[in-house]
Amino acid sequence: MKDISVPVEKKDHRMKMSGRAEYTADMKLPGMLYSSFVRSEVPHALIKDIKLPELPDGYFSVSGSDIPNNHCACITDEQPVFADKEVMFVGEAILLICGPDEKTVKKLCAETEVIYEELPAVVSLDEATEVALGYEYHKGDTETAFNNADKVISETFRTGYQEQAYIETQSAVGVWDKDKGKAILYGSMQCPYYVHSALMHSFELDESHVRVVQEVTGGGFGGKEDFPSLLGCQAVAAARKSGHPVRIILNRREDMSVTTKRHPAILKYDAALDKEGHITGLRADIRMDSGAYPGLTSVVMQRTLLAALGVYKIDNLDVKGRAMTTNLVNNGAYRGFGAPQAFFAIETLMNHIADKLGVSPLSYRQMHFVKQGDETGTGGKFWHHVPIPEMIEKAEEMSDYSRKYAEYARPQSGRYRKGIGMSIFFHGCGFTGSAEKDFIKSKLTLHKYADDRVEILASNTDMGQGLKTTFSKIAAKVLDIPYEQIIIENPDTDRVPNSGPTVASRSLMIDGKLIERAAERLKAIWEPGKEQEIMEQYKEDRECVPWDIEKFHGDAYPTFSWGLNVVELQEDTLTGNTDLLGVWGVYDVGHVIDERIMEGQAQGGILQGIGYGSMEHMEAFKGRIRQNSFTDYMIPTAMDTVNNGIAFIDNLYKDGPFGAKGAGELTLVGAAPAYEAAVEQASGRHFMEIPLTPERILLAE
Amino acid sequence: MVKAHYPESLNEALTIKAEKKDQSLLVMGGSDVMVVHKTAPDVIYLNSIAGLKYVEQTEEYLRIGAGCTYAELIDDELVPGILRDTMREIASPAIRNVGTVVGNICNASPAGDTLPVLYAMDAVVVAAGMDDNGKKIERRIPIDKFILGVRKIDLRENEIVSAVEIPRSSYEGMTKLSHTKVGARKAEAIAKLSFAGICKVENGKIADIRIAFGSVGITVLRQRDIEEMIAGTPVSELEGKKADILARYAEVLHPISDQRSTEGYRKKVCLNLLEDFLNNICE
Repeated sequence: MKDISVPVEKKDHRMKMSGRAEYTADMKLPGMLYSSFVRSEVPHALIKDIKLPELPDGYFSVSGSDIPNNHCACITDEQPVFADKEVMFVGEAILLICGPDEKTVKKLCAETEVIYEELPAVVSLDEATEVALGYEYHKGDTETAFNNADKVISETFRTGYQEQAYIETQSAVGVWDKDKGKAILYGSMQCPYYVHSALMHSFELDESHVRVVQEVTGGGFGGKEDFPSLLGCQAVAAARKSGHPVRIILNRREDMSVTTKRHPAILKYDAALDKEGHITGLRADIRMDSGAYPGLTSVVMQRTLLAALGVYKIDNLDVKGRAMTTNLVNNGAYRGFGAPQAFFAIETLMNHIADKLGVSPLSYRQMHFVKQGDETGTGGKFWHHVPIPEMIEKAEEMSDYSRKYAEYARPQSGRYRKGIGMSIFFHGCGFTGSAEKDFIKSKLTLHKYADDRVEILASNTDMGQGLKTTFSKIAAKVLDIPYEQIIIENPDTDRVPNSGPTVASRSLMIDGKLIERAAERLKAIWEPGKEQEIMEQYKEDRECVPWDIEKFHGDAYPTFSWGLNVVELQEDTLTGNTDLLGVWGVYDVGHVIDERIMEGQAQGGILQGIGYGSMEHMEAFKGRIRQNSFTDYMIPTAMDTVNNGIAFIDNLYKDGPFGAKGAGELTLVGAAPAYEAAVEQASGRHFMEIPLTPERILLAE
Repeated sequence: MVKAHYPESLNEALTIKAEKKDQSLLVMGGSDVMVVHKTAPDVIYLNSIAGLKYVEQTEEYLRIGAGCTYAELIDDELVPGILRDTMREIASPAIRNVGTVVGNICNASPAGDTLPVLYAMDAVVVAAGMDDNGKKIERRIPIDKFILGVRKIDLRENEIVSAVEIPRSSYEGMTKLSHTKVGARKAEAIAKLSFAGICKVENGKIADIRIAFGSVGITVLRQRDIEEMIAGTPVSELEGKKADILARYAEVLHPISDQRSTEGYRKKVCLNLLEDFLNNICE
C-alpha cells in the first residue's frame, strides 16, 4: 500500500479552482443589512458625546449599550465589544451602523460626530511603562556564570509588526433567532468554539443558544484566531437590535488598521562566555508591544520565552518577558506565535558572537546544540530524537553552505556582494503548557452512514492549509476505504463537538491522532450498511515533567518539530536591495501526511519569514498604522524568490497520527535570521533589527 | 448616472470631449483610474480607438500613439531599449497589458515609472483639440512643461493627448543609456526612487548628458544647469569633477520620508546611482 504522504487531490480543490467556493461575502440572507463602523480617530480619549445624524427608517446604530455584557472574551475580557466611555487606540469600534443600502450606511457613519476629550497616549513600545503581563524563569546560577565569564557580549534586537495579509478580509454575518433567543454567526474564522464562547459570554447565553458556522475561509495565519470573536459579537449585537441578519465585511485598509498583528518586540541579550567561547550563561530581557488590550498576548509571550535560548544547551539562564500596554492596535496571533521574534534574536546573537570570536557560525553553533535527553530551559526534557546533525548534513548537500560561506567570507569587490546564512530552530508542537489537558480537552466524532461513507465531525477549520485533506487521508488510510468515501464539512457548532481551535500547529498532531484512534475503533466494529458512530477524546498518558505556569517550569510541549534554513543572496551595494540566489529548508515534522501540501506549507512559510525579515515594514505613526494597503505594505511576490529547495527528515512521533508532528508554523520561524545572516555576510556589517530593509542596510533610515 | 462613450476615432472622441468638457473623464487602460474609484458623469473610453495604436518614425521623432500599451511597446523594436527596459519593470503582466505610456504621463504621479526616462529624452506631449469649426488642432508641449505637479497637467478641457514624441537624437547615437527603478520588491511596487542617465561620449569628451530622478519631488527632477556644466568635459577630467557634480545634485535633491521610504535613503541612493553612472560613463 502506498505511503500516506503520496499527494491526493485536495478536498476543496475543485470547488476553489472552479470559483464555486462561496465565502462570507457571497452570503445573501433574506432581509440582510449592510453595515459600517464608526471608529476611533484618536489613540486615547474619553468619549464625551456622539452626535448621530437622523437615521432613516430601517437603519440602526449599534453600540455597547445594546450588549448584555459589553466585554469580548478572549483569554481575558477587558476589551469592550464597542468602546463606550473611553477609546484606547485608533480604529477601535465605537458604533456599527447598519441598514439596507451600503452607500447610505457609509454616509451615515461619515456624518456621525464623536466628541473626544483627548488623553495622553502611549504610541510606541519605547515609551511604554505600563506592564500588561510578564513571566520569567531561571536556571542554574547566572550570577556566577557572569562573574566568572571570560567575556560578556550584550546586544539588543528589535523586531517589527507583521501583518497576516490573508487574501479574504475579516467577515461575518450575524443572525438573531428571536423565537429561540439564539445567536447564530456565520463567518471567516479559525476557531468556531472561540467565537461560540465569546457570544455566550457577551450575550449571557448557554451553549445551546449559540451557533457558529465557519464559512470558506480565505487564509488566516493566526489573524482569524481571536479577532472573529470580536467581529462576531458586533454582528450578533446588530442582528439582535435590528431583527435582521447583518453582514460585516472589513475593507482592506480597515482590516490592516484594526486587526491584530505580530507583536513588535525589543529583545535584550547578555551572554557570558568562557575562554573557549562557550556560552556559560544567558540573560534575555524581552519587551513586547501588547497593544491596547492583551488578548492572546500572554500565550504569545510564553512561546517567545520558551524559544529565547534557541536550539542550544545553556545551563545558566535568566529569561524575563514583559508585555507593555500601548495605545496602539492589539497584537495577537501570527504563524509562529511569538517564536519568530526570539529565534531572530538568538540566531543573530549566535552569528555575532561567532564573528567576534572569528569562528564560523555553524561551528560555533555546533558547540551548543541540544540533543535527546537534555533538559529544556524550563526543566522539561527533550524526550525525543533531535535530528540536527542529519538536517545539517542534508542542508550541506543541497546548498553547499560551508563551501559558499568560506568563499563569500573572502574580501569581495564590485557593486554586488554575496552572502549565505543559516538558521536552526524548533517549534514546540501544539498548545503551550498544559492547555490541551486542562482547557481544550479535545473531542471529535467519526460518523458512519448506512452507505458506508464516514464523516469527520470536528471543529478544526480548513483555511487553505489543507486540513480537510489531511484529516480525510488519516481516516481513509486507517479504515482502509477510499479517500473519496470520507466526508468533512466546514464546522457548525450545532453539529460538531469541540475539538479545539485551529492554531498552534496542533490540529493534525492532536486531533489527527484522535481521528486515527477513532478510525481504529470504528474499523474494529465496522458493519457494512450500518450507521455507526465513534467518539474519541484527548487523553494524556505520556511521560513528562508537568507544566507549572506559576513557576514557568516543566514540559511546555509534548514534542518539538525542527527546522533549518539556508538563504543565499547578493546585495546591490548601491541600493541595498537584495536578490535571492538560493533558499533551502530542511524540516522534521515527524512524518509528512501529504507531500504536496507540506511543500506548499514550506514554500509559503519560508517566503513569509523572508518577508518578515526583509521588506514587510509596518509602523504606527502617531498611533496610526501607516502601511495599511498592499501598495504600501510589501509582501514578497513570486518574483522576489527562487525555486526553494525543500527536504523533510522522518522522525516519527508516536503520539501523532502516522508519526506526524506540528508543521504549519515551523516553516516561517527561521527564515528571517537566515536572511539577515546572508545580508550580514554580503555587507560585512552586523544588524540588530528586522525588517532589514534596504534603508537599514544602507544606514539611511 | 454615468454615461459611457466608446468613440471609434480620435475626432469622435474630441467631439464628445468638446461638448462634455470637464464633466467627462478620459480612460485609456484604466489602471490608474480604477484604483482610485474615480468617475464622472461622462466616461470616454479611448481604448476602442484603433487609430491611436501606432508607433511611427519621422526623421526627427519617434511618435508613440496614446493607445499603445506597455506590453505592445516592450515588443516593438522601434522603441528605444531604455524605455522598453523601464516598462518591463512596471507592475505586473496584467497591468502592462492595459497600461499605456501616455496614461503614465497624464496620471502625473511623482512615481510614474516611465517619466524619468521621458524627461531625460526631452519627450514632447501631443495634445489634440478641436477648434470652433470642428477642425482638429494640435499643441506640442515639452513633458516638463506638460506635467505641472502631482496629478496636475497642462491639458485643456477640450483636449485629448493623442501621442508622445521622442526626439531620435535623444537616444540614437548616445553612448550610454541607463535606468534604475528602486522599488521595495521586484514586481507590483511603486518606485521609492528612480534614476535615468543618458550621455554621449564623443572624441573623448562628454558631448551630451541628461540626468533625471523620479519619486524625489512633486515632479521629475532634471537640472539642465548642472548638465550644461558637465557637457564638454573631457572624460579624463570627469573623475576630478565628480565630487563637485555630486555636491551640486545633493543640493537640489530634497526627497521626503513617507510610508514607502526615507529622505536619507532616497537621497543616498540617488547619489549612489549617479556616481555609478559617472564612473561607468565610458562602458
